[in-house]
Amino acid sequence: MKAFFANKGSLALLIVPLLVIFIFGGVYSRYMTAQVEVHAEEERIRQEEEAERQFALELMTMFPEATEIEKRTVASVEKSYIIPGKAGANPEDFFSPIVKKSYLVSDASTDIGVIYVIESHGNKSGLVLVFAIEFATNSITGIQVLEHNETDTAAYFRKLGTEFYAQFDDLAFDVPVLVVDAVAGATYSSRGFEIATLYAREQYAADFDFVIPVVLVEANDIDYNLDPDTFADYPFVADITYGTEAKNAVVYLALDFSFAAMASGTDDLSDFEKLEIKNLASQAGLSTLSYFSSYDAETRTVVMQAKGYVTRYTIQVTFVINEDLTAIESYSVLSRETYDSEYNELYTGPGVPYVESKMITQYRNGESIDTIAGASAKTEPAILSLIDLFDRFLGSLGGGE
Amino acid sequence: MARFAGGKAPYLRIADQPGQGTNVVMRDFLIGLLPVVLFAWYKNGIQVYLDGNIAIMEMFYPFVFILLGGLSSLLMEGLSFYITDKENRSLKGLMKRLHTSFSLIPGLILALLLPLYTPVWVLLFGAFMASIVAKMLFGGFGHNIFNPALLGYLAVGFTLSGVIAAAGGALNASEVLVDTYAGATPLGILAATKQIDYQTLVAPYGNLWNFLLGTIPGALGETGALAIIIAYIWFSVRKVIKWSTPLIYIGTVFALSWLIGIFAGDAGIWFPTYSILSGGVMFGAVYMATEPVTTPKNPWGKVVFALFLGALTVLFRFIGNFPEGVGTSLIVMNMFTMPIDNLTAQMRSAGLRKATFVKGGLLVVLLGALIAYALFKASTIYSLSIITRIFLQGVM
Repeated sequence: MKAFFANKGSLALLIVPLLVIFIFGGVYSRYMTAQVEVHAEEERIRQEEEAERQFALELMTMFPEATEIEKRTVASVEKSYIIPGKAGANPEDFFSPIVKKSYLVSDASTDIGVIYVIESHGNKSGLVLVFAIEFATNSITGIQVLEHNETDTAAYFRKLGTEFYAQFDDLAFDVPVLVVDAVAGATYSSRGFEIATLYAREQYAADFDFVIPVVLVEANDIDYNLDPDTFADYPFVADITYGTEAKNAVVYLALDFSFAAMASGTDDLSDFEKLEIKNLASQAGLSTLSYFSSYDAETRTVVMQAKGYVTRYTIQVTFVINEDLTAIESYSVLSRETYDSEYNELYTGPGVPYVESKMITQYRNGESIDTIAGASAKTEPAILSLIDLFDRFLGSLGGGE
Repeated sequence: MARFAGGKAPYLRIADQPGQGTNVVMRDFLIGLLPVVLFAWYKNGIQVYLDGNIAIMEMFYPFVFILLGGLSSLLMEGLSFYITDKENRSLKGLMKRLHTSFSLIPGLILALLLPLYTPVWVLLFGAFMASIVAKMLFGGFGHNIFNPALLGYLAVGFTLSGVIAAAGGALNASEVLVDTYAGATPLGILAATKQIDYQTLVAPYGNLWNFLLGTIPGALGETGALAIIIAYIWFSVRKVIKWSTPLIYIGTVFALSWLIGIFAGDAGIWFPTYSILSGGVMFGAVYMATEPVTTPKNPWGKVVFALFLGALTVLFRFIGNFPEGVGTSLIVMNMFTMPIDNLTAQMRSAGLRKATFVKGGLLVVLLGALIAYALFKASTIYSLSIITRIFLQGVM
């Protein structure tokens, strides 16, 4: 051993440190390279946290007096809504909004409000809205659109202007019926806002023991108004039971189902109850495509209107009922429908009012009413609705065909 | 006219006087490396640690890496001596030979030329190329043609640059966080964009003061211009190097870069300043263009060497495929050291004669042609980029 070191000691002194450098240095430089990834991950997390912090600070400005904002977890709320534009006939027609984030906002001394970031569904999914809700008033103090996939043009989503957003300012939660007025041309988007607002209230109630007021209105019967004295002014009539005392009343409704007048009972309905009646009526499956204009009992002439393809003009049908009040004696149609425009030149039959006349004639003759190829989109439903309404009226007079 | 010792014989070699020998020169050289080593450690280790971006183990890495470079060279040369000199295999004999071989220096300089995240096995490969291939195979200290550290650096650069980039590259943990750096060195930006534009080349890194201080991305030792200047002053005072060589070299790069900037439509003094403060110009000028073995020994030769070196640096940097240019030009000029030395020695000893003017004229013509070509090519490339930029601005 001694001889070995005497001969090879210096060689070992050269090789061993080189090996040590190779191994130690290799480990060290590998560690350094690994740290590059670690630092990159740390930086990514830091940037995310910073972005989150900036985001929260930005949201905090929705409460001018706020000094602190803190992320919070929310209670679970199971609530689904019909996707705007869908019929609600299938499970796929429903969706559940998602609370993506929530923050508790405080001033120097106390918690003053909460912020919810909620993903709703407008015309398309991904409508993300921010709601600022104040504890003191249980009301929305501000709303922001964070993201959306709506059709972002002046004709659609951008129609939601200042007036639309203004309705959310100080929108109170402690009301029985929460309504967001829709904007024509952006109705699905508007509905997306409304759903998000309703969900925000549900979430707020679950998180902060807030009780959502309820409206006690029960519809016993909602139907077309077939009373010739009033049906021109009030197309619908509803028999309701309302209030904690379960009062009964019969009310007339306008063509848009809004409350119009009392038919019987005391006029002590609150606005929310009236809104609830409208809500119930709109779900009753009644058609608004046709309605009565007048009825002359002496001549047994009833004038009706139907809303077909041409929105500017209704289809007017005048029926003269026979003396037995059981059938149509004669009828006339005044129509400005434009089948060619409506059906993109697919319609090849005779001119207006061929479709209307044919359908009414078939009804009068007791025949089944044919679908008319190329005219089934607008005109046909309008006339079917009108025939159905007339038939009900005729039945109410004592007959019917 | 040649200078001769005056006075009466016998004469004593200055190098043999106490405090004047090669050992002293090399000691002074090592001292001159200290500012750059310390700055490299501070910039890539201490400061980054103080920024809170790395752990303490990472803080020591730049310093350890540089030391490992020097140690690797020392050990490899030791092994070389052990293998080739069977008479001196004892520890004492090896130490003596290593001492006179200045074996630490190639590895130290090599480490300073490499990026921070160079794997140690790459450093060992570079040290092998430097100490064994470039130095020992040529006969050891005093016999090598190429600057050992430079050859090691180029060998690594040409073969393993991808490995270095994959391991983390040149930017330290603080620099990677700076969005404006975009992961690139200043010369990398120039090579990628081919645009002579202050906003593109300098603004992302702050201003030119940062270039002078060295707080810009780059290899471990090359960015610390101020530290290099301190070393230059030390070397000049201690007469370790000929003070004029770095100035002529840097001056040439400065002047030619300025001309290129002018041709490209930007006559600002910032561009030549940027040019000399980026990459390895300063480091090469002070530590390698003055290296006593691989550069000319006579004063005229040093001037010629520095002028050609400057012209070649500009040619390679602005026209070549790689962003740097200093290393390549130095290695090329290393090959011409002997002819330059001979030629200029003849001219110097011949004095002001026709032959001197002919040889001098030949050198001037050669240099002029090289400069003209470099300027022509560079101005074509960079003028084109200006036109392209204007076109794009017009379109957009």
